[in-house]
Amino acid sequence: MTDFVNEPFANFADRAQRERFVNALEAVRRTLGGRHPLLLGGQDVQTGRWLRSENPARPEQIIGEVAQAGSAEAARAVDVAAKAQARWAATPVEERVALLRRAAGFLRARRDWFAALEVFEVGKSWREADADVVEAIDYLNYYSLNMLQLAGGEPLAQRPGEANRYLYAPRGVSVVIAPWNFPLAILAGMSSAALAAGNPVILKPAEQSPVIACHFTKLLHEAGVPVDVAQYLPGLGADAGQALVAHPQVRVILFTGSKAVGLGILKAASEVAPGERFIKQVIVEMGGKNALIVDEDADLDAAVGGILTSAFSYQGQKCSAASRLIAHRAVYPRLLERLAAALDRLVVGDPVSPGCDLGPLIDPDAVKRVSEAIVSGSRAATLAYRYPDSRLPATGYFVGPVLFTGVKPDSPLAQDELFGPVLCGFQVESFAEAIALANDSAYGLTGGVYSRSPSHIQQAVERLEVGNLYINRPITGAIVGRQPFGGIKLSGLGTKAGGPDYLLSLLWPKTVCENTARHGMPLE
Amino acid sequence: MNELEARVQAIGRTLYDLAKREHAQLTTWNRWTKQVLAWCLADPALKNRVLRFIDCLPSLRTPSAVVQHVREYFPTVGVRLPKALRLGVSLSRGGLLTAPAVAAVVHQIVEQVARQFIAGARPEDALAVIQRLAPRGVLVSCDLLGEQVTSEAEADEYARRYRTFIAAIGRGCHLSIKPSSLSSRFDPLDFDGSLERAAARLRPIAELAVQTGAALTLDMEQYEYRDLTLALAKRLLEEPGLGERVQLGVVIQAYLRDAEAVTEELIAWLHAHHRQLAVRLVKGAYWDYEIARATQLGWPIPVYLDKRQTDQTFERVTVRLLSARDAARTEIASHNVRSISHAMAQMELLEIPKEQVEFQLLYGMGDVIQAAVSRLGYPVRIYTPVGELIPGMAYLVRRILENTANESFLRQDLWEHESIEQLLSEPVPAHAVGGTGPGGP
Repeated sequence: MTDFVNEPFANFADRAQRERFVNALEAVRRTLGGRHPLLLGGQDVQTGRWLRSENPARPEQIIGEVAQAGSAEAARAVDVAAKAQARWAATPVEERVALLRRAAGFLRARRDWFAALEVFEVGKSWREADADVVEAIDYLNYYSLNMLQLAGGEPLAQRPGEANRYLYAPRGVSVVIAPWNFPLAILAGMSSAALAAGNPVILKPAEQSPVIACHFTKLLHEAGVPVDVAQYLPGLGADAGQALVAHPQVRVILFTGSKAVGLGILKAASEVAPGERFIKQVIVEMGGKNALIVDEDADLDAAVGGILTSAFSYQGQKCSAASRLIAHRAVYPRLLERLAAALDRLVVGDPVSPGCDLGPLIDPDAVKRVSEAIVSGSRAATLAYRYPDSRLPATGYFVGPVLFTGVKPDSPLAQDELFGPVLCGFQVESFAEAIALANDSAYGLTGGVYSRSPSHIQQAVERLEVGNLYINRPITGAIVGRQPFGGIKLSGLGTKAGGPDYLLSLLWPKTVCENTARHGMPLE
Repeated sequence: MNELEARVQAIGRTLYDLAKREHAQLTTWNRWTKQVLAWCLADPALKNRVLRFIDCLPSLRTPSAVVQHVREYFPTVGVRLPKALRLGVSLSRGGLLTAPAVAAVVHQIVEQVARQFIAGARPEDALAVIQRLAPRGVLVSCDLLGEQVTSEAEADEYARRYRTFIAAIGRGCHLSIKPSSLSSRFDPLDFDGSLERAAARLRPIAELAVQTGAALTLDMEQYEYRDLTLALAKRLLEEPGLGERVQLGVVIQAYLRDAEAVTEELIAWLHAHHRQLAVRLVKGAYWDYEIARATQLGWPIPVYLDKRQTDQTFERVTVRLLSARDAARTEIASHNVRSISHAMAQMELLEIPKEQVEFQLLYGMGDVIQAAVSRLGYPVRIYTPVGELIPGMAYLVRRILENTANESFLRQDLWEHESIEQLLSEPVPAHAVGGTGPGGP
């Protein structure tokens, strides 16, 4: 077996790469506006209702319209998947993962196209979009190789006349409920893991990013994944989503999204419906209110750059994004002054242009939520920097970066996940206080420290209640196989996407003990 | 041995003898620099701690923070710290010696090491160096150390510093410009925009340079900025009224695998556009960074892993530049005796007058070689960093690393152990002689 190798990121210092990307943007632009039916067991299914996906930077530009599934279509998809389950589970692991690796190859061949589509559909900058596609390719390859390792089971202790085996069996029909913020990576990650493990999947993308999900599902089919093993079912969470979660034949739910929806799914999935013979396995990855600590001995050049990336890349719409900046008073004033100046250099605009650093928020709801938080925050806290509205594009869902200081630690601004380009600065007297403040959160996803004190770094490692801790670097951008990703507390259940034990959540361990001794016969 | 190689060896021996004689009279290192280099050479683990501690020191604002960090970076008593410091740390723990006293010793040490490699913070300090070296016929090129530019306001401030410096030094000022300091949005992804922003700040600097008779060199930083930096130079050379008058230089880093191709392309461009540039040829200073970055992002490593390949490329580019004198004025920036001798031998072979090429050495590191090269009648220029301690730290750490690296000329203890044959041997990469060294392509 070959070792896992991460897909290289695009090198935009290379002129040829920049030209390829410009061409891909042009190619995608020409395909915008099509209609996409549901893909259920080889049938193109229309429902008479259409979900419209629009470019958040130019809402008049329609990315595509997708058929909107309801509970009836959800039931139909589960039915198809349930029928396909035995056949997919019986397909040898080598064959299953060969298809996924083939899909990874197809994605690699079309990576600029997929990335360009993300620029239009969810407003990612070139680099962010490219990183999302790279991560998707990584998941396909990583879980494939991982599954090959697990296929033989784990060794157990043996005794004469007794053969013990520990095997992993697929769990069954899996529902993937994916977010829009990493519209390809997380969708591909959750579905490739389930597929590698031998589970048929139903892909329910977010309402805001259904078109790229459609192309990904087709790519899986193109690579040879059977049409009843990977189905495409866009719809509203309250409708199709709820129907899937409650369905008695669904065995696994993989969800990444908000805390409210995640906790709702956990609750709903724990209800055993009449006739249901399995307890649903649920993987939920939820939000974060992630803190970045800057110690008194930190390298401020590095910290300013790291904060910009952590808090504002993709407009802060990442569950890993930093939304709290906790700095020692010795560096706080200088850091905030430099940070505010650095924020002002950013350019907010249509991410199709390489000259834009930040794109739009995903939709009008996001604009409303973030804008209201800024307004109410301005009353309770001090607005240290606000990107001038006059520099924002006239149309599109844009909110410029904002920096608050003097935020009360128990206020909504300090506690609630906002998912926008808003950072709250806190000044502390000591490193111990910084850690205590960082831990004062219901979430525990990512965290970071800029420090050059070995003892403080050790304290952070021991005491910060986070799933992913980053030291002297940005706190976003986890890489498959190198920084397995997932949170604790109300951020998740401790599963790690892109980590060595993720697949175990999608498999039943089965113990087999066989008496190999026969009366009067020699032991084998 | 061919004619060229024979000349290289002969010149090398002459340089060696001259340097050896100079060495008897010149004390190269000041006391603490000698001591710090000795610690670093004695123990790689300690070297790592020393470098990291020095990097961190300027950010420590209170004496107690200094003491705390000394304890954390040098926890074992076995470490051969200076007695004053070792004693100080343990006494301060018992309350016998105050933290301020310990911090003062530490600052004294690091500041003295910094003074070895950094001229000072003000333009006056640079002027003093220029005036000190002038009688020996040695020229100076200045580099303004500064924090990384994170906002456009900081880029404006940096540009203002460049102009103030040029005005203060006046005629004969020779200044290096860091392209990344010209804009906080210097990113090859937005190639044209970055070029536009950097050029907008570079233009007034260049105009002032033309007025005062100053020369500018666009420094070469990370590989990612290389094409952007060369494009910036070309942009300036194409400016009507400015391009034909500005004295501009660029840098070629020989450790880059595509260094020769880029040299070729640059020379062709200069010929096609009837423009001239000074070209500073260096080995390259971001080796570890380039390897780490490329490996993390999954990119081909842009630098040679085998130092001999770098040395070989250095010689090839030397020849290429020397044979394109109508377009490029060659500046050989290396402390390596072999590289220097090779350039001189090539010049003899091509019958190039000595004054048409410059040998450049680093401030505080090349006194011995500098004297020898000058003695042979070649122009010498000293690359002199000017700046405060904090932004100077990264530079300082690089110099210490260089002086304690295995293959460092200074480390090779020229005068005692290393044989002159080895020092002057032709750089032959491992694979070229059938080996499978770490530097395969």
